[in-house]
Order: sequence, then C-alpha cells, then structure tokens
Amino acid sequence: MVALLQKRFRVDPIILGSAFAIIAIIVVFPFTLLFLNSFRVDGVFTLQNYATVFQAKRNYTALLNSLQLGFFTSLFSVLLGAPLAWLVTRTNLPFARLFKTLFILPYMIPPFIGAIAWSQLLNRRNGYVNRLAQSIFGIQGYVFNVNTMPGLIWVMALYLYPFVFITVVGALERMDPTLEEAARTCGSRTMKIMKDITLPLVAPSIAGGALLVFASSIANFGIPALIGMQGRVFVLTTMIYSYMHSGGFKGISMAASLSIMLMGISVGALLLNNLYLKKKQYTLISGKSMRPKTLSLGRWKIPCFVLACVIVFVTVILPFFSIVLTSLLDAWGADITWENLTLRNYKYILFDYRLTRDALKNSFLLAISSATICMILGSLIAYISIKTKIKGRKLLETISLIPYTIPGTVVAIAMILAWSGGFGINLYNTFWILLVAYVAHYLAFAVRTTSASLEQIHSSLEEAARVSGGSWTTSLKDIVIPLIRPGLVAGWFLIFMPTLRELTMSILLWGPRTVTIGVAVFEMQEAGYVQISAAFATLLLIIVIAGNLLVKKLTRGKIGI
Amino acid sequence: MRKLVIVTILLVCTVLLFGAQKIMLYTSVPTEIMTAIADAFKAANPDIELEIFRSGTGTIQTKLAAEVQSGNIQADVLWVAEFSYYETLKKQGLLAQIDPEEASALPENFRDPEGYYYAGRLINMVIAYNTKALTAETAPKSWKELTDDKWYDNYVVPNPEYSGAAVAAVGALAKKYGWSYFEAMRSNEAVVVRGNSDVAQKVAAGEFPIGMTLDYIARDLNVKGSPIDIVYPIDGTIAIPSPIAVMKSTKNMEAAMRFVDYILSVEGQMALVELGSLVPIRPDVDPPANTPPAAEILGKSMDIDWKYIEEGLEEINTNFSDIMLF
Repeated sequence: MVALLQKRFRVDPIILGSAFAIIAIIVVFPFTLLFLNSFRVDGVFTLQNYATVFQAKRNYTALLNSLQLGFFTSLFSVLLGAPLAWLVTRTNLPFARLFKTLFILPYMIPPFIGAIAWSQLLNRRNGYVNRLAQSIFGIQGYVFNVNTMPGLIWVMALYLYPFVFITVVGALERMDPTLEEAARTCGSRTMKIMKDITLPLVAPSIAGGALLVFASSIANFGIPALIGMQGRVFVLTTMIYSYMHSGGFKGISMAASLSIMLMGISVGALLLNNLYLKKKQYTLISGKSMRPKTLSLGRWKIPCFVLACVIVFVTVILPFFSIVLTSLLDAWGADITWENLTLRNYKYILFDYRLTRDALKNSFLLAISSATICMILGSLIAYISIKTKIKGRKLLETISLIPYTIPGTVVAIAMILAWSGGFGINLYNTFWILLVAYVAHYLAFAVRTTSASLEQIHSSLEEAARVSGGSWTTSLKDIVIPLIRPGLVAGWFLIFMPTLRELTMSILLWGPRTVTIGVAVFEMQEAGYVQISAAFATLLLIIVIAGNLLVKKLTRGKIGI
Repeated sequence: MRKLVIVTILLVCTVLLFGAQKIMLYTSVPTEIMTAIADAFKAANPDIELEIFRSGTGTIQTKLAAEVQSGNIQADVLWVAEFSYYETLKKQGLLAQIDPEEASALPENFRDPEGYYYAGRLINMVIAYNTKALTAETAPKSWKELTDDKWYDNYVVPNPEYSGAAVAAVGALAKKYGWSYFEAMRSNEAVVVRGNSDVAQKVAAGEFPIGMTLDYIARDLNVKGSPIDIVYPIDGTIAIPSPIAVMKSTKNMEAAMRFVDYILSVEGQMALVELGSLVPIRPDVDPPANTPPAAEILGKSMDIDWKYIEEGLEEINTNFSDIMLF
C-alpha cells in the first residue's frame, strides 16, 4: 500500500526523462559545442582561434565599440530613466500616471523599428529633422548624422531606458517614505534628502537597470546594423553577422570565437547584476505600497511638465509620425506635398509583395508554436524544480534559464553549429532551426512565470488529490493547471509577442522558405526601399499595439502597457 | 491533449507540404524586377511554381556553401553576378551540364564552352547621379575622377562582400589603378552600403548625389520617374555577363531547364528589357531606349581579369573592407 502510494506520488518517469533529454539536446549540446569549437583547430585544443580574432584590427575595434556602446547607453539611460522615475512616483507632476505609461511605451516598440524611424529623422541629407533645420535656419549641410557612434547611443538609449525607469519606479514605490519624512522633520532640505537618503536607497535598482541596459545593448543587432554599418561603426553582433554572410567557412569559426566573447561580456554583466543586487538589496525596500507623500514641485511644476511632454514627443510621437509619413510618401526623399502622398506602398506590401504573406505566415506560426512548446516544457521544468525532490532539479531549472542571458546572435551561431548536418540532424535553412532557437532563447520566460505561480500552490492540495486516489495526471489536470492558468496565459503572451517580431536570431537562421516579419522589414530597409519598409514597419507596429491591448485585456491588466 | 496533437500534426503538414513542379531560384536580381520577370514567366508556364530567394551574390555564396556542407541544397537554378563564381562551382562538381535550346543564339563569349553556365543578362557597373543635384555636364565622367577632392563626402559604393558585381568592379579597378585608388576613395569619405540597389535608391532619394551602381537598376528607377541618371565612365564601364546555371542536385531538371530556356529566349530577353531595363545578351533583341547594345558596351568596357577575380576573391574582399570599412 505504501509502495503503491509512493508510486503515485512520482512524476511519470517518461515525462521526467524527456524534460531532461530535451534540455540536454536544445540547450546543453549546442552551447557546449560552440564553446569547444572555439578552442579547436583541426581537432586540437588550442587558443589559436582567439589569437586570430585579435590579430584582425576589425575584431578588436568591434569589441571596443560594443563596450563603448554598452557603457554610454547605460549612462544615458540612467540619466533619462532615473529622474523620470522619481518625477512620476514622488512629485505632484500633472498626469503622472499617464506619463508613467508613456515612458514605458518605447519598451514595446521593436528596436529595429526605432532604428528605421531615427534613420529617417536624422539622416544627413534626407532626414526630416535636418531638412527642417535647413529650411528654418537656412543651414547649409547637415546638423545631425545618425550613422555615428553618438547616433547609435542616442537611438539605443531611447529604446532601452525603460529598463532603468521600470526598476527605479519599482524601488521608489516600495521604499519606506518615513525615512524621508524623518529627515524632513529634522529640517533637511529636499536636495539633501535626495542625496543622503533617496539616492542611496534606490542606487542598487539604478545599477541593476543599468546593467540590464548594458547587456541588452551589446546583444542588440537591429540598431547597430541599420544605423552603424553605413557609418563604419561595427560592434560584435554586426561583425558576427558580416562573417556569417560573407566569410564562407572561415567566417563561421571567426563568428564562433567572437560569439564566445560576446556571450562572456553579456553573461558577466548579468552575473554582476545578480551578485551586486543580492548584496546591496536593502531590506527597507521590501514592504508593500506605502503611499509616500508626494513632493510639491512648486515653481518647477510647469517646466517639469513641459520636459516630460518633450520627452514623450521625442521618444514616441516623433518616430511614429516619421514612419507613418514615410510610408505614405511616393518616394523616399521626395518633397512632402499632397501630390507626393500615396497608399501605393501599402498596396505593394499587402497585395504585390510575395514575401509579406510568407513572412506573416512564418512569424505567426513560429510565435504560436514556440510559445506553446515553451509553456509546456517550461511548466514541466518549473513543476519538477518546485514540486518534486528529484536530484538535479535545480540544475535543470538553472540550465533552462541560461539561454535567455545569452545574446540571440550567439544562440543562432550555436544552433547552426549543432544542427547543420554534422551530427546527423540537418535543420539548416528550415523552419525547425528557427523554432529550436526561439524555444531555447525564450524558455526562461515560461519557467519563470510558471514557477512564480506554482510557488503559491500549497502541496497539500495535490497530496489530497492523490491520497483520494487520483493519479498524478489527474491531480495535475484538475488541481494544478486550473490554479496556474493565469500564469500560463501570461507566460504564453510574454513569449508570443517578442518571437513574432524577432530579428536578431532570425537574420542568421532564415532560409529561402522561412522569411520572418523582422527579416522582411530589415531586408527592405537594407535594399534601400525606405518607404516600403516604413509601410511594413507601420503594419508591424499595428500588430504589436493590437497584440498588447489584447494581452492587457486577457490578463486583466497584469501584463502589457 | 488531443487538440494539441491535432494542432501539432497540422503544423507539421503545413511545413512539409511542398509539392512537385516547384523550382527554387537563387538570384541577385533585385526583388521588384525579379518579381515582374517571375510573373511573366508564370504567365507563359502556368504549371511551374517558381520560388525565389533574392539576396546579394556574397550572401548567396555563403548560404550555398553551408547548404553544400550540410548536404541539403535547396537551389535548383542559380542566377547571380558573374562568371568566376560559376567556375568555382563547376570545379566542385555542383553544376549540371546543360544544353538549352536557345543557347545557340548567344555570342561565344556569353557561354561556358563546356555548357555549365550561360549569360542570362549583361550588367554594367557605372556611375549614377541624382539629376536634382547634378547634370550630365557636371557629373563625374570617369572612375578616376571619383578620387578628386571635388567629390569629397559625396558618393556611395556597394560592398563586394555582398554584391558579386562589386567584386568584379573592385577587382578590375584595383588591377587598373592599384589599391591606392581605394585608399583615395576612403580619404574622400566614400560611404559603403550593402548592395547596388541600395546605392541606386540612396542616389535617387538624394541621400547621396553620386553612386557606383549597376546600369539597369538606375535605369529602371529612371524609367519609373526617379531623379537618377547614369554616366558610362570614360575609363571603362565594368561590363559583367551574369550567368544562369542549373544545380546538379536538382530534382526537377525539366522545370529548371524551362526556366533557363525562357530567360535565354527572345521572349524572356524582351521581358528583361521591358520589366527591368536590362541589357539583353541576344543580338536579335533591342536594348532599352537610349542604351547601347551589349556588343558596343563590351567594346568600350574595362578589361577584367576573370582569373584574378576567381582566385583573388578573398584578397579583394579583405583589402576592400580593410581600406574602406575599418
């Protein structure tokens, strides 16, 4: 009887085994292979690949550029994100709630769409801002040139600063306001309170947000590809892309070595984030939502309001307007007159351009299947990790979380090495290689959301079901799944949305029959069809916004902006 | 659970269902022009479904190399920039020896004597200029002139790592003027973008007054009303016969051959002229308006050492990017 009972308590060994096997195949194998490959030349263990990488000045420059881009983007994001967070949470800024939403909005826009918008705005001879400056101030030549390192940092920071903003808002909302009040009662001036109390308390969150921005900016492909390459500013991701697209077979070993380097920096930054935050997380910042007294801005109220409006205008309205305007132009660079406005570009992408249909079909199919597979696999892993006592369960969970910290470019290179026929399975150029890469990269979202929900279910519920004779499957079906359903739905959309517009991995993995939305827009832009890519980008923005609204409705406001 | 199984099966089916009589063409002909030509082909051959993968020659080379390595070649027909790459493929035994019916109409220099590939078009690297910024009189007249201070920060060129025509052009110019020619271009702040259509679009849009690009891409934009025109440089147009070939691995030889025959036929060449402003390779088809015929262009073109282009591909790419990009 006891034995029987114990048997019932166990997770089906087949399911258990397959979870371990799948993780081994899609995560452990490709990344181990990539790592080993970077140390191997003709079957011998050596550091020669790394030596070769550093012999070429271009690789060295790309590495330095990546670090520079990461550093300045983080710095700029902090300067923008932290004060804004303070403004919307701690002051009597008018419409603070609305601004809070608007400041997060850039997070929703795919970064490569932002790059397209800003290359329209700040292009040297044709950029709208430059043309406006020429006609108003009669300037000869140009004021801004987006195809430079500062241009790159500008665009990157505008799309990544929400990371800092969100973390700092969180910290400020959870911070105990009595400390500030105590200081105020003792007669400290606002500036002094800020310096001595508020800032030290939110500093860990600022640092955490900055490290996230750092990791995301060096992993980003779309912005440096669309803005940097034309201005000879190469970073690691675009360098790897160049090797993969034109280097033949020598290219892939260079790409692999650079990938390991990129992965090292990115994982390093995230580890630092974990270590630093764990040590510095002041216990004060834990309690929930004590309404802090808001600070009166006094005579600064109007200037701050204007500043907030300007920031929304620059980060959201201007780029959006630019893309829509360009999509309606007869030709990129044409004068903006009524005669030059047309719907032809939309007609082209909707009805004439063959790739549109393929791209929409492939991207939706990929997003739906990867979100579904991730949720099934991810919830299984979360379940094993939290609800069982199996040896190695924490390792399984940790491994499943790793690929998300690895830049997409590196994930793609690992997949190409593993699945191009060298090991019996050939997925090169197929739908499946994209699917495997997406699943590996986004699995962490599924594991995280499900484990958060699972932790809230007391095991007595399940035990009760099993003691009353229900099998493991029954208890899962009737107790666990209904309880974690909201988490499952949320996780599904968290994976569906970014995979739908994925570019970084897809650009390295797409084949003749597997073009995706991101790739189609990128290719159009790179082929110089600026007005057509703008129309496609508008279409994508509409899909993203509609999707976001839908998610918000479905999750009752828990997810989405 | 059952629903899930059904959905999975449906997913698998949609992906795997690729029927017969489909051929995959890998080409560097720009998307808009290629789509128009494909539609014309489809009208004449409704039973064949032509799928197209369009990219730069460099990218296609890398893609194809990986496909060969993995033993899964998806291309049936290959139509990219220039001869030297086809020589490489021929030596690797990847091309089919074919004898298209229409081939007899081609001049000798437009086909491989052994029958592995045939020129499907003649593409010519020229200087394009924006007609709002410059006129035929003020535009640069020669390649050499591009290194003049006068054109500082004013022009854009394609990247040979992406464009096969640019490989031929860079190779030919480097042979004629030495690599110092490109060093002078770099000092003149020449901007490098991906391919020829990108260059032409940027010139037409006024982002740059001048660009190095292919004649037909600029001509096609001009015909469609864009402010762009071309100059045949006096130190020699770089004329590149752009071959078409069938992959040995094709499972659909009949359909592939019909496509090759269509491109080489009078009808096909007329479609190229009409839909893409291309220079026809057949003497019996008239070139686009205001354009010299192939023989005349070739007569005045710059010498190209194809052996050097084939063997020096890596050197050309590396030198160019070292000088122009890094």
